[in-house]
Amino acid sequence: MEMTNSSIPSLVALLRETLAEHRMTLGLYDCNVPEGADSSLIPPGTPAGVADLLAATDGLYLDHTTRLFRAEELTDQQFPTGLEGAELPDGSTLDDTSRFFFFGQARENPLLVDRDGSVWRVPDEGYVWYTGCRVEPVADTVSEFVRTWVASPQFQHLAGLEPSDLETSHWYRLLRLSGLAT
Amino acid sequence: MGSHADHLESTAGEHTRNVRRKLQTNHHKDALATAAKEAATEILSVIKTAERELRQHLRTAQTGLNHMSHNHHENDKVLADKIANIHQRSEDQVKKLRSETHRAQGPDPTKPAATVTLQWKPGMSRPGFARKAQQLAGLSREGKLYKATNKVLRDVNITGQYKSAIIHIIYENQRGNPKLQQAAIAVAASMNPDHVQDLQLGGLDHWENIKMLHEKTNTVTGKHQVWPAIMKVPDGTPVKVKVKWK
Repeated sequence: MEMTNSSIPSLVALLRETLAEHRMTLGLYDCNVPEGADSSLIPPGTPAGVADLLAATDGLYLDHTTRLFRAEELTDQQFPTGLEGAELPDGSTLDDTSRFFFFGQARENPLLVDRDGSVWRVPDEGYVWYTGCRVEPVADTVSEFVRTWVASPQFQHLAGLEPSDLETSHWYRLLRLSGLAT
Repeated sequence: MGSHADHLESTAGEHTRNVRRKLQTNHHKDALATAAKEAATEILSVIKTAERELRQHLRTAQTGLNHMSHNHHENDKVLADKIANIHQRSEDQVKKLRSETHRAQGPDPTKPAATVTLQWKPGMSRPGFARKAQQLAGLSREGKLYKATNKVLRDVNITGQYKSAIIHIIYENQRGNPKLQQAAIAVAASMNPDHVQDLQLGGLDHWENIKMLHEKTNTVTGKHQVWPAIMKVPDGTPVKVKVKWK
């Protein structure tokens, strides 16, 4: 189901058009695919993968706890203090929080881009994430992240959906309508 | 007019700020300015009504009665499921907190108090900040704030479903006015369900402790002002709140 050969702009355009076609009739109001951001709004220092995505869509609203940030809110969303003491996959403690750029949230926990361009997340384990958390890598690039976690059935694992939620999640219904999930 | 727009920003986000900019730009064009002001007022009224209705349903659910009877949301299974979910998860979170006896359950008067300073920052809603600051300052005076035990418990489905239910109610209530419906949904989506007494300050992860708030005001006060001031103090430390109004 994953569209490995699709470019991000064409994938975003497909989702935006499908949403526009069905939003009112099906009441798909819990998600949104905005137009691309003006380049002047993208803060200096934004990782290239995030900037490319913002050019295609100024944030993505996937549900009420999972979204990618708009260009104008990126600066305020940087919160390295919250990552102090985070546990890395090898069991060690994160000592350089500045390596991560906050570009979204999944279940209200951070989605991060590392200096090497890879995407990481703080998995939701039932706590306020900045009072103690761990980080884990989920994709090699932002575009791979969008293709494999946002615009595919894997979204259910990003947003923590139960099987019964798939019928009511507006984003998952949009994926189905777009032919990106079954 | 500016102060009126400030007031409107107390609960809304970008859309209302856009309206404010229009008001400032067009203040000499009375008809346009009046129309924009009335539209923003109407949008916020729709959102406030939806939140009030949701809380009425939740209060009814709390009594154990059939919460969807005797009102115009009767037979709305989607909303009924959300309400049942929000309430049950809220109750479960409180039970969990109380059962984990290693966690601080209130302020420890033997510990010296820590002080949190709240200050309005550019981009925050002034009335939204005022409301948040006054609420926390009030709780501080009552001696209810304390540093909760890490890792602080949280079920994100409670706030997620709370916001989803408000948007659902707006959608249903405004079916006859699609333009207002879409505008109000967009503004509501830009807001945050806020724990009035922050979880890290001992607030309960329960719908009774949640109210919609301007997003940046919520983020900046909770993460950038409260947390850094208490993150290194011992669990149970009493917390005092100081508000810098300028």
